[in-house]
Amino acid sequence: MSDADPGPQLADRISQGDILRDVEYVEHVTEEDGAIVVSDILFPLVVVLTQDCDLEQDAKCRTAEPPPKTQDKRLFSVLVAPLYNIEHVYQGEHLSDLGITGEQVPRKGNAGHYLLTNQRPRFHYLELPPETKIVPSVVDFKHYFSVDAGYLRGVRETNLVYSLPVPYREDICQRFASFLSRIGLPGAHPE
Amino acid sequence: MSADDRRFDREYLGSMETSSKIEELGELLPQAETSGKTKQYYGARKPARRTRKIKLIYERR
Repeated sequence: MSDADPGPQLADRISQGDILRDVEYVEHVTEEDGAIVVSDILFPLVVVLTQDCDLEQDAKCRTAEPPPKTQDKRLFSVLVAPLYNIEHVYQGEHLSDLGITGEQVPRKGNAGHYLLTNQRPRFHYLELPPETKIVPSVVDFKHYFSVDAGYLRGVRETNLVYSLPVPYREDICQRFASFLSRIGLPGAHPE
Repeated sequence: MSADDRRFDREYLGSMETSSKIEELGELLPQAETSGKTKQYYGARKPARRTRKIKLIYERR
C-alpha cells in the first residue's frame, strides 16, 4: 500500500472490508401485553460488503459543508456478512447458540481443503494478522444481512476490529457478488 | 383518534429511546465461549439470540 493510499484502516467512515464486533441484527419487534419485545441476534464479528464508492458517497453526503442540494446518495442500510470461527464451522456448531446445527466439514480431505482455499462459493476463509486477535474465520455469504447505516456508524466508533486492505477486500466482495448472482439450475443442489 | 391522542402518541413514541420510564425486563442471554486457547480472541464466541422486553409505562400529563 502506498503512502498516497492510506487504506481503509485510516478512513473515518464505514468502509468496505471493515470488520466489526458485536453487531446486532434485529429479528423482529412485537408487542405483547403492553410491552415491546425486541428479538435480535448479536453477531460477534461481521465484515462490510457494501460497495466502497457507495459508502464514500454516503459519507460525503452526510458531512459536506455546505450540505448538498440533493441527498439521494445516502444509504439506508449497509450489507454485512458474519464471520464464524473456523473451528466451530468444522464441527458444524457455529450457530449452536441459535439452535441451528450446521453441516460438519471434515478438517482433512477435499472438503477441508476446498474451504481453506476458497473453492466453495458460499464461504470465504480469512486469516488475519495476529495483532487483530481474530481467530481464523470463515465468512458465510449465505448469511448476509443489512444493518441500519446510522446504527453501524455508531458501532464502528468503538467496535472496529480491523479493515481488510486492498486487494483482499476486493477479493471477498467479488466472490460475494459472484455468489449472489449464481443461477440455481433445476436438479442441482447449490449451497 | 383525537388530536390530543395523536400528540400523546407522537410525544410518547418519540421519547422511547431516551425515556427513563423504560424498564428493561430482559437479561442478556449468556454468550457461549469456547474453552482453550481461542478464548481470548475475537471469534471465540458464536452468534446468540437476545430478547429484550421493554415495559411501556404511560404517563399522562
